[in-house]
Amino acid sequence: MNPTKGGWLIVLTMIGAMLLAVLGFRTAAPDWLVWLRPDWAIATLFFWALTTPARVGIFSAWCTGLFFDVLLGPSHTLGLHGACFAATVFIGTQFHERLRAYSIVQQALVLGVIVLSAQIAKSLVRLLVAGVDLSWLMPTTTLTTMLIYPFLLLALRPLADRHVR
Amino acid sequence: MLGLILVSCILLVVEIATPLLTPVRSMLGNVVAPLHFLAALPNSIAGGIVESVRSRSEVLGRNAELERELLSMQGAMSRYEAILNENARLRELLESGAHLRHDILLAELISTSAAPIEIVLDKGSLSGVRVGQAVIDATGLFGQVIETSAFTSRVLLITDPTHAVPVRVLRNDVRSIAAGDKRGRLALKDTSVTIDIVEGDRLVTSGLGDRFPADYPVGVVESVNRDPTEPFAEIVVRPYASLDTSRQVLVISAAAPSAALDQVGPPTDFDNWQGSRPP
Repeated sequence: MNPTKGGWLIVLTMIGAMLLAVLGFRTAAPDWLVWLRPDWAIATLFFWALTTPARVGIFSAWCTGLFFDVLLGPSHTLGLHGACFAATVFIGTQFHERLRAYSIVQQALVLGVIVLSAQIAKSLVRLLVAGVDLSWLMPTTTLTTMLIYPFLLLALRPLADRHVR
Repeated sequence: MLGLILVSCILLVVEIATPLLTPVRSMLGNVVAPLHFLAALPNSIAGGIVESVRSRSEVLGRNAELERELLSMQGAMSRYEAILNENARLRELLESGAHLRHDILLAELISTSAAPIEIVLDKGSLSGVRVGQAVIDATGLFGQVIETSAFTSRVLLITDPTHAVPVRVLRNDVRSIAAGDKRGRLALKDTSVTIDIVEGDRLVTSGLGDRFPADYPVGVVESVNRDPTEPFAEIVVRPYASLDTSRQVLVISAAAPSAALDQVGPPTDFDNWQGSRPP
């Protein structure tokens, strides 16, 4: 296996996830759509950790998180997303054999637990830094992330098979 | 793994306690700036489509309407110029410092966030945007710049719960501070129940605090709730600026405190202060 093969695809999907994190629906759709925005980044990282555990490291995940912190503004302190991403990759790569044997529904449930924990961590930091109240964003983001996960698998698995593995 | 989480925690403390990481953020901000522009594309395209399918008669009607508006504005403007000159002359007579004219910079909104209530503009430090500058739209005060990268800047809106702006009532010059509440409105902080503020009072920036330039419209008092058992009145203000719909805003630069303000008030530089001496 070529260790650098298809690295561009992983980077590309993460850039896509960044884009989806700030995509503005301002005039095109109602405001409440924000509540349903899934955590694309964690779902994508979770997928890569399971599919190609040798290709995603916790340090690179942490560094990717820095860009998310900057992208989403000063209420996300530097390292906040990094910690969430590193934890996701850590869990995904450590248990990838077991997780791969799970059904999609079970995988989505594990992902849900990770996303909920990340949301709680983010909310606490935002409460601390910017006084943003804890919101319904935590459970709704968790739910939508679990719902889009099977579709993410459908979209990314053929690409991963062709370009990365 | 634990090490990385520890590093994150340290960075958290450093960032809350010191401004050390601001340059890092600004530098990384330049890298992610294209993403903001890219993310704004669907909106611009949607806007463009809406524009292009407008019928000819609609466009003509709108044009006529805008021309009428422009004419009336020009009329008002010429009067404004005259008043401005008169004001400058009167200030000269009074020997008080003249109000500075502020430069403005037109910027377009490219991204929004609901909590905290922030927007991202398409102009950054390269265009002269600095942290702390006030942002207005056509109708009133919008917010202030809290972070800049080379090509983008982030603005905290006046309705954010962590934001406060010094205001005065246009009718009777009563001063207060308008802070954002959590429902897209402003609330006047710590105003006693006996204060002379009524529904419909118009508020403008007072210019105190050296952050916002004076006399920009902020909002109108929507409701006043005086409960005699409470020490403070509950006053809700509706902002003038269309915070939800404006796409173009103005960044006010060179909002230097006026000379008159510099000469009054307690000394700020206590280390080098040797009492008031004649110049």
